[in-house]
Amino acid sequence: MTSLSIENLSVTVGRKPVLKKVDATFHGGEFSAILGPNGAGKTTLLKAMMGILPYKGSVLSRGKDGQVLSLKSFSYLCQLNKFSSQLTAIEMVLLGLVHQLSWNITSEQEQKAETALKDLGLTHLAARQFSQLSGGQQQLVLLAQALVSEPEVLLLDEPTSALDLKHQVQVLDLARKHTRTNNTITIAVLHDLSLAARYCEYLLLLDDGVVQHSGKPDDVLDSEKLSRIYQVHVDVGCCSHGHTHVTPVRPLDTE
Amino acid sequence: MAEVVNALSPPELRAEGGSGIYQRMQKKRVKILLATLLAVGAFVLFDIATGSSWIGIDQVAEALIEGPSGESLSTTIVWQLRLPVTLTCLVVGGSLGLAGGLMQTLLANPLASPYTLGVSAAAGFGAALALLSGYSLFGLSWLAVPLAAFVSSGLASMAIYMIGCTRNMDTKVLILAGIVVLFFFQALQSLVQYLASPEVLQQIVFWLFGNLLKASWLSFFVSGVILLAGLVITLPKVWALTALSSGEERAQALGINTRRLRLQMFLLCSLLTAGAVSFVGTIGFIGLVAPHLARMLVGEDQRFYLPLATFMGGLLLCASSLVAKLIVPGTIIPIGIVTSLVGVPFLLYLLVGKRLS
Repeated sequence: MTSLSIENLSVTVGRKPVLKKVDATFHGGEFSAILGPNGAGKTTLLKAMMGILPYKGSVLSRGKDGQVLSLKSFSYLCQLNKFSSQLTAIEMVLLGLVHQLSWNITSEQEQKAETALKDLGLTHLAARQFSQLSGGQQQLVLLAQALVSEPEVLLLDEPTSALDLKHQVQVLDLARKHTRTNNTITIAVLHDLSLAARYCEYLLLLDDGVVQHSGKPDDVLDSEKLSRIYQVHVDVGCCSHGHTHVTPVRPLDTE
Repeated sequence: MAEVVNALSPPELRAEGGSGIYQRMQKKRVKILLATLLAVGAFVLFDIATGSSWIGIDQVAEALIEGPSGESLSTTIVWQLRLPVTLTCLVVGGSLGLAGGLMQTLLANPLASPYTLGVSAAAGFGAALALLSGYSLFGLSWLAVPLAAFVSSGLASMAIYMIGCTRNMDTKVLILAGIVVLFFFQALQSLVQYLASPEVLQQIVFWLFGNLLKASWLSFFVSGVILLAGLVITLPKVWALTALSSGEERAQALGINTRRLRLQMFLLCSLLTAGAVSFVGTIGFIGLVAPHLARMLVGEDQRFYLPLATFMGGLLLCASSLVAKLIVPGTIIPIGIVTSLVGVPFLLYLLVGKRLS
């Protein structure tokens, strides 16, 4: 089974230790989430996994046959930031295949890009300039870019941050479907704990660069644990559909 | 980066979306490339035909077909006087267009070019120093000026790169570093001019004007080989460069080693700039204007953008050469003056025009 093991991973940015001896194991076919307050080290962890940031410790991913996976098997959707690019939406999606592209785009590659756009309902935006799209549309195009190469490891940094409710559900449904169909390791940084509870099988709760809790949603999403880490009173309950929901009530320091 | 209307995203295409849209975009870009090549060919013919005496286009064509061994007067004029100048003009413009295109991609800034970032000034300083010292390499005096120009422009590029490294390649810092380098090498150029004898000073000033009069078959071959090498090195990296044009972080997310790519391309820019300016002197604005025109026509897919910036550079310099010959009949105004006169209004247009939204 595909797996990704992180052992003793530490990252220092400047002189500040951002991650301290993180251990975690993620499995193929499993949708996992990294949770934690701002500045906990969530994005840093994804970047270290992608090899963008230097780290101490080890990150080892193995495919179905036990072979070590290269970074070309990874896809990373970074946080949305403003950048004016004149590439069109379909060109942005094609860049997801950057390691496979030669001078000529094959009809198969073009088809893959079109399908990725279609899956997210973006076909009508194919020829639009990326910089002219709304934040939410840009996020969807970048998700299509992350999915087009059918990666074995999919890293998503706040994939729903710019999306409305319908698109949040659409994106996470698609990511989950992709995870299960292709036996992908999907790891998403999420701030919405209710969505994490609904979609993820495994949660990693970080605070101050250290893994505070990890495991199944029911084990991690405990009101006491969350209150201590997020410094806010939290209600954890169950909705009429049977999904866990997490509601922040008031900051602890207002008492 | 400046918002420039992408000619390939008209409303009908936007509404259409869907199957085959990318192929249609590509076909349109190929047509634009071919049309530009045709325009380059036409300007080359007109440039050869124009001079102190006009030679008919048919005679130019005949002379070209006849080859350098032909005995007619027009053949001698074409092959010995005009063709090397026109071809040098073509490769110098192409090199500046390519270097400018690369710099604008690397720095995500529409004002980046070898001229505005001081790489041309550094090449100018190196060349001036070589002229001042009279240094010759392996007994080959013609090699000293281009080599000194390359070393100096390479140092300038490395300085910009190293300053950028200290600030995590922040593109604003890179641009400011380029401006620092520009002022530094302009000051050094002035110092060399101050120290030079009147004869050497004349050579340096002539060189700094940007002038095609010293263009020869040798300058064409040296600059041409450098441009060819530049294209051969750049073209396999077009997809990595396209990824970089979508943003530093996204390029990294796609697994591109942006730091290594920037270093390689910065060095290449200095080689292209040195190759371009070492024989004909500093020529401004081609490296700024050509990439803009290319981006407006084909967008930022570097497979089309970089070759078109190269063709546009050649085309613009050939057109400037024509203007330089025609503006005062019987006199050839230094081409650097013409390119600057055309480039200044364009830069103003960029700064205050509505396209910079």
